[in-house]
Amino acid sequence: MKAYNETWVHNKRLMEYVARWQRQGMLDAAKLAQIQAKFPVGFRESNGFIEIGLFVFSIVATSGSYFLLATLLGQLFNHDVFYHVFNIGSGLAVGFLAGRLINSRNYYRSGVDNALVIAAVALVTAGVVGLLPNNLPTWQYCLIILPLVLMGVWYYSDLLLTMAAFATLITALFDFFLDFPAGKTGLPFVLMAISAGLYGMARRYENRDHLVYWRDNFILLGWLSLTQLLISCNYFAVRQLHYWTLDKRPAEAPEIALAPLFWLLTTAVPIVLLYLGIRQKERPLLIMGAIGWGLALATWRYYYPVFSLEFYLISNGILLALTAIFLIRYLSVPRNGFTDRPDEDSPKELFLNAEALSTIQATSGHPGSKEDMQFGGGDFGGGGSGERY
Amino acid sequence: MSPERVLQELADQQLINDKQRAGIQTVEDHKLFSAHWELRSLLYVGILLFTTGTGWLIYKYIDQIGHTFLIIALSVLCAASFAFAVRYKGTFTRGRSYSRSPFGDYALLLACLLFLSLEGYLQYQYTIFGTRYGLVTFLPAILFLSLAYLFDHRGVLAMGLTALISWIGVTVRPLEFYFKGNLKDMTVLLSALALSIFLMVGALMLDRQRIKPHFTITTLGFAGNLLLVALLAGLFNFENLHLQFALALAVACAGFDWYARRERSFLFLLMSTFYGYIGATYLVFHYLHLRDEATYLYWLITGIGVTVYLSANRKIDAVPGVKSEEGKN
Repeated sequence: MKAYNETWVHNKRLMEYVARWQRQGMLDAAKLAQIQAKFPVGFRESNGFIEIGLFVFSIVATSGSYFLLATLLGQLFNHDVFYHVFNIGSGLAVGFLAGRLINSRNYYRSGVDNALVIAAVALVTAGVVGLLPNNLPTWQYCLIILPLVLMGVWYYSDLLLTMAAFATLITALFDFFLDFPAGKTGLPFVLMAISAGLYGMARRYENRDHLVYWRDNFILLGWLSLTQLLISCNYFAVRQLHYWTLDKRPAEAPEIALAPLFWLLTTAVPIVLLYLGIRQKERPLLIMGAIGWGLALATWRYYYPVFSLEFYLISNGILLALTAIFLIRYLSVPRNGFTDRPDEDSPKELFLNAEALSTIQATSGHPGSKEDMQFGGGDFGGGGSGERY
Repeated sequence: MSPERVLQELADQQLINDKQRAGIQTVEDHKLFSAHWELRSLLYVGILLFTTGTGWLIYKYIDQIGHTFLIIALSVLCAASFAFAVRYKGTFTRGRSYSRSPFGDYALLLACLLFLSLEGYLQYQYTIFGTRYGLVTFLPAILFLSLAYLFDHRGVLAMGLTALISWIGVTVRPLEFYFKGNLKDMTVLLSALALSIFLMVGALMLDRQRIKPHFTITTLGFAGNLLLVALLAGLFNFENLHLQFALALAVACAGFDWYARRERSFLFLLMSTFYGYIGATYLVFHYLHLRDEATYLYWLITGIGVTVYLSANRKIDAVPGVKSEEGKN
């Protein structure tokens, strides 16, 4: 039992493939309509700009009602317990409202539902944390919040909640490990290990059929964990972090233990990411590898500025532009599975074996519809449905 | 969800036959990894780093030996990039036209950015425009706008519009409620209003003539933000003209609402909603002095109201195949 209709989510993902194949000319419009009829998606069509507006004004409305109620019931809040119970109660009410709206108006990540889900989970967690004793260390609060947020992610598959869960986990780790000396040294390595582990998990599960409801959450987790990985192995980040944790701060951040190792990691991790990205053809790895390499260069220039800043800007600008120009020219014909052509292009040119494509096109045309009529799918096989789309 | 699985499900429902399934599977197996947008972003970042660096360099070593050489080198590069863009320019059409080289658009962008640096330098060092500072921004504005139409380049169009708006002394960024410049000055404010109306009328007329209709949204976006920001600034800064500015804001918002519905460009609906809400809220709090509970009630009612209003508009969008800016051609 989930917040959104799981079949529709499944069909939505399936139709993304089908629509791409149709755009690439491998299925005709009539076939697309036929498939659409068999795999219906009942969610409301939406528009990104409207979603932004709906999100913002739903937050405005929710805050208004929350503060209004809280002010009216203000007399009761002499006892803290009432206030925290009120928070939990209003969180549940908002969650209930979200559920009603999702069902009745067929919302799916339409702005209103996102806003209400965030508000519901935030209010419930605030209430729960309020009911806990006041003097717990932060990491314990985080570990209590985390399952609540994860339940929200499980039920709603919300992306902002996924970010919140990730941030909660990282905060818990920070707070826990910074409390003792060995933990301070170990924190970067723990974060690296956790990020790598989470990335592995995200990659492993993002394409599982039975987990399709959370596909976007796993993809987001992949990006988040790669970002965290790059930060936790970066020499600059580690040195600054060490500086902030010192009781007495000197004018400048002091050298850290294991500095050579962190320098190595700062440069090596992006290279490894790039290498893996090229081998596995994974976009997040390639992009984060490139960004990480930029970060590594910036770190190096920060500590060892050999030339002036504009020299670095100009030389790196030229280098980047030349690399891009070289690669665009080099990949104008496909090499090693890479190409410069946009994804949505028809595979005609990409395809070494042009015969195969003509076969698909030939079979996906009208003969295909006739065959379907034989199987009793005549309702969808007509030209009318094609025109309707 | 893997392509195999999708094909399996389609085959199970007898929506595709074995041949189609095998064919699509082969295409998916041989699917190439497209690095198209990544490489273009790389090129773009490279150009930005380079021009930022040179812009800095010009002023840092001013009056030093070799400086003239630097300026000459940059001018040569600027001219060369422009020549490259001209060399591979696609034939002019009223619709979309493309450079015959994948680098044509980027060469033009580089040329324009370098032109800005060089022009600024010439004014700084030799004051070639004297004290007519307006010309320093007006010249590139006109140049970039013409180049944008000639070469069909939306980036250069945006640069030209930015220059044109800063020519009247205002800096506006789309979707940022942030305005620099002197909108407390009635002359600046009125010229902002006049310029935005001029741009909008121009954009709509060109759109009607089907001349580069894919530029319409960019121009209207810039002009619309300028108009709404200027009207809000008028509302905030001129208490004696509240009624006039409130009416003008209402008319502008209604106009954008109408346009957004007609063209299904919901950016304009979002713009009119946000700016309109800010204006209305300002007036309500300015005149009614709401207390706590009333404030919360105001949020509650208006929040729900605007949400319902936006949802109602969304039904128009329920038809698949939304008319996009590309689709207008």
